[in-house]
Amino acid sequence: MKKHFTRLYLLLWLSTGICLQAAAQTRTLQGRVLDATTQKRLPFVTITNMANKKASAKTDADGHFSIQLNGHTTLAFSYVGYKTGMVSVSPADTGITVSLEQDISGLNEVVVIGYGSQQKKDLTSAVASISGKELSELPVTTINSALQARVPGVQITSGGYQPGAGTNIRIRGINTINPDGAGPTYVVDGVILTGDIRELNPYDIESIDVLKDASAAAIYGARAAQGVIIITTKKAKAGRSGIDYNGYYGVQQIYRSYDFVGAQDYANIRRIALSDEDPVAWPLNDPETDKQVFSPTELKSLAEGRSYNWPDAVTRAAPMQSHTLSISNGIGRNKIYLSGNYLDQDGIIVGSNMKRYSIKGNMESSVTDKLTMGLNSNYSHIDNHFVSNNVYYNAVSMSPLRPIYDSAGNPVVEVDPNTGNITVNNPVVQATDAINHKVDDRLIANLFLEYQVLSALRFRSSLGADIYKNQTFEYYPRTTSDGYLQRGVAKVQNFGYRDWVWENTLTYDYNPSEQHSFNVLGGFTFQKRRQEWNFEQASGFPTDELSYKNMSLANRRDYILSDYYNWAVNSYLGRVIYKFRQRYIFNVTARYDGSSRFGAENRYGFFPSVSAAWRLIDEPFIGFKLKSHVNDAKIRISYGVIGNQDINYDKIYARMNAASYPFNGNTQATGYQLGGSEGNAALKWESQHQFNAGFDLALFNSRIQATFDFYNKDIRNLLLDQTLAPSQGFDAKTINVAAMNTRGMDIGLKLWPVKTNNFDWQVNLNWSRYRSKVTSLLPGRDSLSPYLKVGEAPNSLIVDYVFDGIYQEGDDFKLNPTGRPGDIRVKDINNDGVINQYDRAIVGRTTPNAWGGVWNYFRYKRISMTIFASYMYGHDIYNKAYTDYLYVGAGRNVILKEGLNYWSPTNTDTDIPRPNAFGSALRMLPSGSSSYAVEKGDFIRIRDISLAYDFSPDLLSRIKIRSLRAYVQVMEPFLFTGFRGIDPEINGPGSGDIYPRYRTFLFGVNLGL
Amino acid sequence: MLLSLYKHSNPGRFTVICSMIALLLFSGCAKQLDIKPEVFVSPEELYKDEAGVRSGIVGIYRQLLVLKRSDYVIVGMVGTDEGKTTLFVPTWGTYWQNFSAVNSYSPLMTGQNDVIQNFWAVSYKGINNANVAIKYIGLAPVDDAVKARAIGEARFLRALFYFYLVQLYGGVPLPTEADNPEADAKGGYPRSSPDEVYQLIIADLQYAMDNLGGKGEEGQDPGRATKEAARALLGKVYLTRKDYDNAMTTLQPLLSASNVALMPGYADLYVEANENNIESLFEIQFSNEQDNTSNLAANLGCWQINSPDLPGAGGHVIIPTDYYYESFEDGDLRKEASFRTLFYDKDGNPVDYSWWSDVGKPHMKKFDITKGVSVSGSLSSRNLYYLRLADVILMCAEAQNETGDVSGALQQLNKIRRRAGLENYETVHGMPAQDQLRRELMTERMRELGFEGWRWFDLKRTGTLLTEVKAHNPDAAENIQEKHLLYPIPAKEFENNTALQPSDQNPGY
Repeated sequence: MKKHFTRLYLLLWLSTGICLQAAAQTRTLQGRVLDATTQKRLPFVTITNMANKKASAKTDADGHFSIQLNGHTTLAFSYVGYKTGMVSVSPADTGITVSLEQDISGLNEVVVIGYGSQQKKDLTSAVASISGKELSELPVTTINSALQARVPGVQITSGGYQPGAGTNIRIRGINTINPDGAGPTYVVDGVILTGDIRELNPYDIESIDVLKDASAAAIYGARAAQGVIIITTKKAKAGRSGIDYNGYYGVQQIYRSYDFVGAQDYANIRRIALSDEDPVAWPLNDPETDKQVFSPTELKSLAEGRSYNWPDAVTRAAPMQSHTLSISNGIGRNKIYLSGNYLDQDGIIVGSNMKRYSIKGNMESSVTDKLTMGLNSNYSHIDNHFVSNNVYYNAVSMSPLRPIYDSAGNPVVEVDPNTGNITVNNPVVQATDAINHKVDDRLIANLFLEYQVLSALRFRSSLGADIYKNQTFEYYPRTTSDGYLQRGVAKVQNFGYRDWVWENTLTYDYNPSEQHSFNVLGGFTFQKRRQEWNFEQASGFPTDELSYKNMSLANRRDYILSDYYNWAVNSYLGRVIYKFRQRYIFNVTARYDGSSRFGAENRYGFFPSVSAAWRLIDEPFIGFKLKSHVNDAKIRISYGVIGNQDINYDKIYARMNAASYPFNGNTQATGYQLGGSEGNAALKWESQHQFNAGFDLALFNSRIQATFDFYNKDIRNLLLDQTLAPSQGFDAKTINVAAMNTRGMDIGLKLWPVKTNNFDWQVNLNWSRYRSKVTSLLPGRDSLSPYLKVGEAPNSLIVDYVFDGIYQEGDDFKLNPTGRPGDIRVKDINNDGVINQYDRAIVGRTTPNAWGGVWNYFRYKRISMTIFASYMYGHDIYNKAYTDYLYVGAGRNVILKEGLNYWSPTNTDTDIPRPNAFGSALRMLPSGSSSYAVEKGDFIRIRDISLAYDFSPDLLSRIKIRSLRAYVQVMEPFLFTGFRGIDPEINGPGSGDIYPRYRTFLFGVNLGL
Repeated sequence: MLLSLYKHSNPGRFTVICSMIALLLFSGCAKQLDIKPEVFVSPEELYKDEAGVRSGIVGIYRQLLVLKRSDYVIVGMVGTDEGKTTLFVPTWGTYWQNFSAVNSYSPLMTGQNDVIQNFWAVSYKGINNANVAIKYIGLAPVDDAVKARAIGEARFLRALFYFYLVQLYGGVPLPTEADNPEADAKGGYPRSSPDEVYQLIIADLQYAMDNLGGKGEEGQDPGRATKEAARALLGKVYLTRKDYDNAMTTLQPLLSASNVALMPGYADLYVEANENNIESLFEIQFSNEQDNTSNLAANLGCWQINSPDLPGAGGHVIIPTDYYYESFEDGDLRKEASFRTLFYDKDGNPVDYSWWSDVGKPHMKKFDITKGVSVSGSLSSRNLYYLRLADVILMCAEAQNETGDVSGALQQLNKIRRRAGLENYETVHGMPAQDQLRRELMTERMRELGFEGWRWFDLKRTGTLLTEVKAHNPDAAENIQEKHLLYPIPAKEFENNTALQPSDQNPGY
């Protein structure tokens, strides 16, 4: 319908034009505008008549335009992301085709900074952005895929591999001593969020901006210490409308897991292990010994020569799919963007699954010329079925001689007839019968009002809400390892919060002359949260049928717990950006935050910052010759103070706990006793002083773009629990006392090695590094625990005994008087002749030397390919999970194939001790491990390879489709590493994770109507 | 800039702008930042009414339960001539070696010793709870009578804890106020002199004596501190200070009070049904409920007795010395009531373990678990005596003897002897001299109050700790020295309390 109208419109113009042309010198010029490379038609390109600046037009949705002209003129064609094209037209021209070139410099891109936006070329602080265009080229399934290794300084690790598990993000190294500190602050369409953002559909995201340094983040004051990630979701574009469908379907398959020995090797090694303890009592090749080692069912399997693969029984190839339908209409005064998404992801462990339903509605209405109102909202419902991590762990530890299913095909559940208790936990039963169901509902919404008071003064008020509710239902029936002792365990948990954010800002743009321009912002925000939690656990159910639904049937009430609290933050903010002569830019920001988590004494904090940038390239003294090679050169410098208010709200009070005293034996009086922590009403936020210096450079037509940032953070007033003298009556008191320092560099490089009409090759590289260390703890204390030491990064040390090889025949056994050849030997660090806790040393550090990513994009005509890799090196990993499966003994019977290279008198050149059923070869290791378990985690991981085809717009316009792209993608195809564990990206001093890694193959379609 | 604003606008718009700015500046919700926690109370919030006051006092009693429910109960019992740890204890590991050092005064008896550190820490927790209670009850809007009685209980308990501390450690840090910013800045209080500590104790007990309820009064929970308990404790404090006159005047009224009397039979004192009886002045309460049990019975029992049907099962941790066992005269009913000499194997058959050192020795049976009444296993609901009339009688005897009133002392002694089924002392042994009676009274205290937690303190008070231990405690005989008259101040205290100098440690440690 619309097309017909346009054609009519054109015809009309044409006819009137012809008539008019005859009458005057005015004529109509028509044409169309295309992308120089893809030949795609560019809609809504602005055409300005340079002779007569008032006359302008826009191309329509098909790239056609029509404009009235007089004589010779020059027309300027401008469009976001493209270089403005200047075309001179003469009266003879009636129809022209204009091709616009992509502007790859990105200098005019608009970057969202807190409470406003700035052009990239004017930025004075370290802000990294991923534009909508970049996001659309990468078929992301989760937001973190977009950020991972694409933004210098941002390190992302997975919080778990089950569908629905979140991620941990660290911006610019370690920012606090508390290992459980919250991650960066997210701001989604103006709503300040805490926690994860897995509810957002990546297709709905327009752009992501990461505020890395103090100057950028200071506008968020006490929430900024861990960095700020601003997410802007899609809005309807003015004058356009359309329907889009995005969908993909894929399969996840395990590609990296542990390789355990088969039944025969398993049986042999168990016999050897028992015989090693007493070869006389338990000789090898003796059926009596076998009877000691194996259970009757295992003996049966041995006799029949059977072998069972338990890990296979609990894993599967798991499908996933996602469908998004979005409708957008920007024509008229009311713009609306609606998007609905359905995501269904099975997990590779049987029984795990996540379904997400979400709907987004972004509406904006120009009520009057000056008044705009709008609503951005996102509602999601996530239904998650988790499987306990025990399932996979139990499956790999199971003897391969035990049958998984019985003759009827049901999973075997071995029960002791006398006690009725399970003797062997069957993980298949646990995966299928246990219930672990989490339901999440979240509404993130923002209602706003913008009033253009004067042409330069704008007032904005918004009310945002983040309303979240989580219900967790767990039930472990008596056939599972978690529930058989107690005859069924049921747990029900409700957790929810309601966050309200009310923000009011006034922005004033004052441009008295071309030399000076000011942008002044002032505002006030108030945020309040109410959080509620309750938890019940009961056990001892008559049958498992009703699971957790009726807790009154339970025999025992194990726990009844609840917690309710509020917190609030009250802030004033202000910012002035002053641009002098277009090339000297200054930025002063300040925020004054008050938080209810602190006592009245130190409630408020002032967070100022300054930054400046010098656009070298715009200096008049830069010669023309230089300018032809260098397109951009800017130096930035900033310094500011930001805070972290994320402390437990109860630390300022002395908390009284339950106490009871049985007067007269039966009369139990209940009361209160003082808890262990003395309250500290003077608690305040942790503060971070960050200095940042950087430069941005673009060379050779912006074909090489580089940004480099160096930062140094002095973090003070870190919270620590100070042990008190016992005569004070309290155990500890939380005080702001510790300090640490993190410094590092972020380097980002964008290259276009090849850029032709038919072939493009683009490379994005980034490399980041940081070094954190604690500079002071409690006065006079150099270390508070083996893991928290001055001079080392907090929570990054691996402390253990130092592995010193295996004892051989004829060695000196003075450190291990009851030892034998084949035992593990560890070093006596302090040479006192005894192995005890003083012989533990720092054997590894989990902080990396550097990490980053490489992103390659190739395009040949309509086919494009993306290869995306990430790397990290220099970090140590405590691979205890792997080494635990190398040694036989002390309860560990199932081993990896590599463990077959164990020490024996005929095989002495090895690191693996002799197998012994009681672990006697491991007796030197009181905690069961040593530095042997520490490995380097260097890796290069190809995260993503995708191949896409963009159908030609000409072809599509015949069937009235605006755009169509089909793609196939492999996620995590390859991992190159020397690390013997499953995942070298695990971050943390302890690593017991054996969850297998999987590849995902998927194909998808982006359709636009 | 504002001027240009004005120039560009008309007055109407200007007002709008100004009001907007005003809205921004003054819509501060600053008062909303004062948020009180909802799921727990802080001390300021608790003591607002009578129920709050009572529940806070319970917390102080609780510290007493914690002090006496576990391994710290051995302080006062072992390392004396009446009790010792078994020879198995040091073989159980580092912690138990520290534990047995309390008995043997081995080189592990240092400021790092866990038992010594924790005894100190729990006592101070009790004192802290009491200080907080005293401060806030004083401010609470409750009835004066309720206030006085509650503060009386708090002060009694504070005195109790300080009495332990001063006898064991000498002068100690003396916090008496809940919040003292000066002390907080230093991390604690400096050591006060023993005299100062005793002054506080005496003042506290005087207050308690005047303000607590009477034993057996209407509405008084048995087990709470009473006037009589405060009086008895105050008398003991005076006795320890060798202030015999004050001791007598304080303790005298108890001898003739109507609500306090000796139980007819000694064995009746240790029957579970008789908890909080007429002789009892203050007992530390335990009960069957989870979390309110003690493991004293386990420490005193024998692991050879393995059946839940048989009394005396336990962990074989502390036993009476031979001296204690053999100190009884023939016909003394207390011997049978205090000791177990019959052992059973796991099938319930009597067995002779006399060949197995320490296992076959007599064990204490005063605090045995009774099947079906106490909690099973090693957890016991038996109360522990702190003060009883027999103790008061013997204290009077001691005070009288010291002031030269030998016959008066003998009278008191005979009350105890007759209850134990013995003839008067002079009938059996003739009239004693003061010195002889002094020794006899000490031995009588051991026989009467054995394993009730006073022996070490009694020996120290009378200056006989070193001689008696050397003579009768085989483990400690070669180790005990002059310095062991005081325990070392815990290392943790020195580490975190800058008001203490290393030179403040007790001599020899």
